[in-house]
Amino acid sequence: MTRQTKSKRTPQAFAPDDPKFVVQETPVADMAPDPFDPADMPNVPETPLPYSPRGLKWGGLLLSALTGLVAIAGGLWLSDLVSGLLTRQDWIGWTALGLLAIVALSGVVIVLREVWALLRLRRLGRLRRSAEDAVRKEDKALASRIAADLQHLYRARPDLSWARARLKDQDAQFMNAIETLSLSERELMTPLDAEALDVIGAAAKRVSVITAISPLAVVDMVVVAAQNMRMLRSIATIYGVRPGTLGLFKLARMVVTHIVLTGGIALGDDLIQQMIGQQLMAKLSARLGQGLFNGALTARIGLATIDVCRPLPFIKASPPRLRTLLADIARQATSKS
Amino acid sequence: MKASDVADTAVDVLRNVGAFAHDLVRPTVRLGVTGLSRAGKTVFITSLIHNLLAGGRLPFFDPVAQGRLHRAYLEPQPDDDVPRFDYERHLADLLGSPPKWPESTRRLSQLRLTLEFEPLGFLDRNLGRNKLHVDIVDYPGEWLLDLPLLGQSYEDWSMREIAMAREPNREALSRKMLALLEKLDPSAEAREEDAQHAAAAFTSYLQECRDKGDAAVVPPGRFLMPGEFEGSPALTFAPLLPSDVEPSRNSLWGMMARRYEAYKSHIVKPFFRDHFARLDRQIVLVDALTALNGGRDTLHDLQRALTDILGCFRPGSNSWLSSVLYPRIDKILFAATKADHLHHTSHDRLEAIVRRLAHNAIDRADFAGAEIDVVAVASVRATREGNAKVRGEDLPCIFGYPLKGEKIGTRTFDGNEEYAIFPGDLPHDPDEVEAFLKRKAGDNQVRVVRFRPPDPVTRNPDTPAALPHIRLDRALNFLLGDKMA
Repeated sequence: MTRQTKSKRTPQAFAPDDPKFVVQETPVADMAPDPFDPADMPNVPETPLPYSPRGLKWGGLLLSALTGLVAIAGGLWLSDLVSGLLTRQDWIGWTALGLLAIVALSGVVIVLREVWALLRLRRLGRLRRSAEDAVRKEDKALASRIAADLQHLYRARPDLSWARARLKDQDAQFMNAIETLSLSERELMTPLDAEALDVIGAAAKRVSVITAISPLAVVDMVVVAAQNMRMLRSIATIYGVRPGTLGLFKLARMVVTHIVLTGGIALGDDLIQQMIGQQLMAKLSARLGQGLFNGALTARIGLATIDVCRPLPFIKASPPRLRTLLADIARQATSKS
Repeated sequence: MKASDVADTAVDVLRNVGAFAHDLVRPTVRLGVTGLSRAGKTVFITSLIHNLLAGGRLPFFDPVAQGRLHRAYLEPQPDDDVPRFDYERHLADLLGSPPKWPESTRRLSQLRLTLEFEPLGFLDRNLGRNKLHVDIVDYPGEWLLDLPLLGQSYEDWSMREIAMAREPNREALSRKMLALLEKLDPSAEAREEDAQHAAAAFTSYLQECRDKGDAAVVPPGRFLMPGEFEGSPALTFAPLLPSDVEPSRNSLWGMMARRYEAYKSHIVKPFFRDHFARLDRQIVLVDALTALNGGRDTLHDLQRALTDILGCFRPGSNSWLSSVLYPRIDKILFAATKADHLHHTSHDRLEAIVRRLAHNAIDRADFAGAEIDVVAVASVRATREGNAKVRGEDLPCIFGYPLKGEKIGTRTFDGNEEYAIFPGDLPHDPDEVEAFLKRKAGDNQVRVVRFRPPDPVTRNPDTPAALPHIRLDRALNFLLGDKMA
């Protein structure tokens, strides 16, 4: 029997205008969005890496040292050039200096944007992991912080303004963790999911057609890679990151890792059936079969990208499936032809 | 088994087949709404309908959330022999100025609500099965407590009733009735006056028990809510003290026994057969808050009543009810009503307490696959929330107009002023709940006051906005969501 301190809190009534007490009303139907601070996210365990490399990475060391050397050489050359130009004191010198300044400025901006995009990508990942946590532990406080942060994340998106307004209109305090997050998912994620699926569908279709009609294997490899990168970037942009070149490579690596990690299941589930279908198709036309297979692969990569970029796990919404996606693509393709 | 029973069963089977065939064409759900008196049945139904009709905020009722609900409207009642639930009058009470809680109903009533929606399934969509009729059946929970009577003879019942009246905590209330019963000679010739006196004494004893809060456990339930049977012989009987001589058919005992049997066959059986056995879904409203104000005894009585009520949904294999009740009710929701009288941080705890109270019943409930859930709801939200800082401590409070005559501490409210109320802390962990359930009455740990309904919000000049609520959508989704997939 443990009730000591609490038993002092006996039932009582206050007049709302009684000056002795500070009485404060909770605003009705307002999410009270406070900006998200990663520092006060409680005990979110970073998901462990699938492998932990031990010891020195000699290859990395080699690369870093080489890059350092090249940077020094470039710097030397540049400083020589600049000092040479400065001694000239004529219009060529000034123009060159101006150009150099532009180079420096744009370089800095690009680097900043890359860094920002990478940070943002990480933030999406962290959000998703804490959302998974909140759902698992039914942590209401964490869930409402995540919901507030999601609204903050998409505060400047005109296409989500209705969704944001609808979210503000709910009495958040009466929802539990899962309800809070599934409401955010329904309002904010569902429209984005639909957009992303459209992008994937379009990319997969393009890839199939190009593979089927391209004359050279090399050409279609290049085109398929380019198309995939483009798809990756648009999906990431839809969910709120706009990756630059570096960010795109980072994203591509995350996607590949994700496919490798979850690949077994998805392959067994969907892709094998696809391959059987393709073999049948290949009997009819080798190129068409190959085209469809590449399309399916692109779609698979697209779905993995959604998994990586979506700031919430799939809670109540059902995750998109490769098979239905491909069926849609096939239907659209046949209805158009 | 008597021939009439066989005929009954055959008729029931035919009716069930008919209902099934009808369901294929026009899906219908019969939703039973019950609860002990003052649990808030009328307000629940009124608010439920109004929120569906007026497009209230129902974010977790899936058909609304997915934008699939096109239209909701009331339809003429299908059963001609059942009173209609007076939705319009109850709504006018709630939306009047000043708003007031509607009067409680004391009889069975019914209302048909039709929902037009977009089905998810391919077949349903193409077959045009886009309508769901919801027949809301409102009946007093006390009637369910009559079920055990069907298995008892008049003698058994009399003995049990008198034994209960002699229990120490009822002694004060039952003294007058017992004195009267002792004067009556069961084997004497039957006289209507005697029967009437005894029945009157018995009824007033039940009434007093209920006012004290424990009538929930005292059948026959119809004595307190006679409805259309008021004054009929089937309601004019009382328990008698057994006598040594074998009473004849014409004796007082014989007449009472006959009337008891009439009560069973004309009142109890028809209710279970015509209404209860035809329900598909059931919501049991539980006003745990009033019971929380009282102590151990009221909570214990509530627990017993809940267990008995749930017993009806799980009739034993040889009871009469199991022959009419096919496993139809597949979802039962316990709704702890008036959640708005507590701060939202206490809602989980309220649910935990109700779950604990219904524990025995829920535990055994994996019968026939019925699904059971508990949710804290407020059919009409009468309060707002906030905090009061008192001597450096933050107390989670609710804001509203307490009803006239409600008390907290030494303060009595007059019903016209708004107050911030801190109703006390509900226990959090399970051990404390056990201790809490065993505490004595009047220890001032929790005091829940009742509030008047909120001022209606008007949207346009004439249309009132839907009544505010708490978690009504969750309740709806549990009860109807899957029928509208």
